[in-house]
Amino acid sequence: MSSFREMFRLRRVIHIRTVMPGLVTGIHAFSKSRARQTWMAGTSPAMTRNKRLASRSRLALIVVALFGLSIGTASAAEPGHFGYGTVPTAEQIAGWDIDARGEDGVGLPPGKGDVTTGEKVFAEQCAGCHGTFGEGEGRFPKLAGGQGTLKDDRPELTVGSYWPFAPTLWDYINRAMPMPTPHTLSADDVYALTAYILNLNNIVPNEFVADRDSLPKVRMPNRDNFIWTDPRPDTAAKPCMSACVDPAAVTISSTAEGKDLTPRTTGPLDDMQPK
Amino acid sequence: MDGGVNWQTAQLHEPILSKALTRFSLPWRWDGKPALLESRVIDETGYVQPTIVQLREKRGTNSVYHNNAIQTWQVKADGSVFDVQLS
Repeated sequence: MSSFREMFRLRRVIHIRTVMPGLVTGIHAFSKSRARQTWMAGTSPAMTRNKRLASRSRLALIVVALFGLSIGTASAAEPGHFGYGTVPTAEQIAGWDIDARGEDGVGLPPGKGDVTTGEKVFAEQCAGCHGTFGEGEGRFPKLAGGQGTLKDDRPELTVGSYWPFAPTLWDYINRAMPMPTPHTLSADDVYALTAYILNLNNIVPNEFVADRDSLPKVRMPNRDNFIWTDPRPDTAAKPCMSACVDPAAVTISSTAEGKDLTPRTTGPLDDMQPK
Repeated sequence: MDGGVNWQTAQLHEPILSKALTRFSLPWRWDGKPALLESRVIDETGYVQPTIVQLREKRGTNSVYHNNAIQTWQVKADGSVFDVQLS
C-alpha cells in the first residue's frame, strides 16, 4: 500500500509539473521568445495522432491554435499582432475540437460501452483515487452519493447530486481522466465508464449501454436546479476611488493565519516542496 | 493598501486581451506598517469587481463556484503575509 501511495504521489507531481509550465506559457506566450518554442512543440505532426502527447504541449497548442486563428495571416508590422504563427490545418483543429455538448450530446463520437465493462475499466483506471464504488479515496473526489447535500455546509458535489448532463460526463472523462494520463482511454472505454458511474448513482439500470444516442436522453437528477440564464452581473459595486468605506469599519473577519490550510506533513502537495 | 478605503489606478501591461489574464502593476513603497492589500478590476462594461461581502449578499455562502470577489492580503509589521477576509 505504501508503495502505491509513493507511486501515486510521484505521478501527481509529474502531472502538476507538466501542466503548470503550459499554463505559465499560456500567460506569457506572446511576449516572450518561449512562444516560438511552444509553437514548434504544438505543430509536431504527431500532435493529432499521438493521443499520449504530454499535457504541456496540448495546453500550449490550445493557446497557439486559438491565437493562430486570428493572427495567422497577420504581418509583423500590423498593430495589435505579434507577427508570427501560421493558420492551423483542419487536422490540427480537429485534434482540439473534442467537446461534447451537454443538452443534446453534439460532438459525442461513435462507440459504446456498458456498465459491466465500465466496472472493469473503472477498477483498473479510476478506483485508485475515486474508490471502487465512487466513494472517493482520501481527499479525492467522490463520484457517487451526496444527493440532498447541496444546501449543507459541506455539500457533496457528485455526478448524482450535482452534474447536469450525461454527455458532459463523457466529455470530462475523455479530456481530463485518468488525471496522470489523460487521453489514453478509447471512446468505448469512456462510454463504459460513463455508464458505470451513472449506474453507481442509480441513474441508469445495470443493462444500460452508453453511446451517442443514449447519453443525451439520460435525465440527470439535479439538472433543473441550475439557472440556465447567466444572472451575472449580479452585484453592482460602485467604482469609488477614495474614502469608500469608513476606515474604522475595516475589520478582518477571517484569516488563514494559524489554520494550517496548506498541510505540510500529509498529502501529495508535500512533494511540491523543494527537498 | 488600506482594505478598500482608497484606491489607485494601476497600470495594465500588454498583452491586454479579453477573457485572458492580464498583468498589472502599481508602485508601492511599504513603510513597515500593517497593510491590507487588495486589487479591484473594473471591466469595459463598467462592472466593478465585488467584495466578498457584496458577493455573499447576492449568492449566499454556498455558491461554491464563480467566486470573483476581491482578495485581501494582510501584511503584518514583521513582513508576514496572510490570506484574510474583511467584514
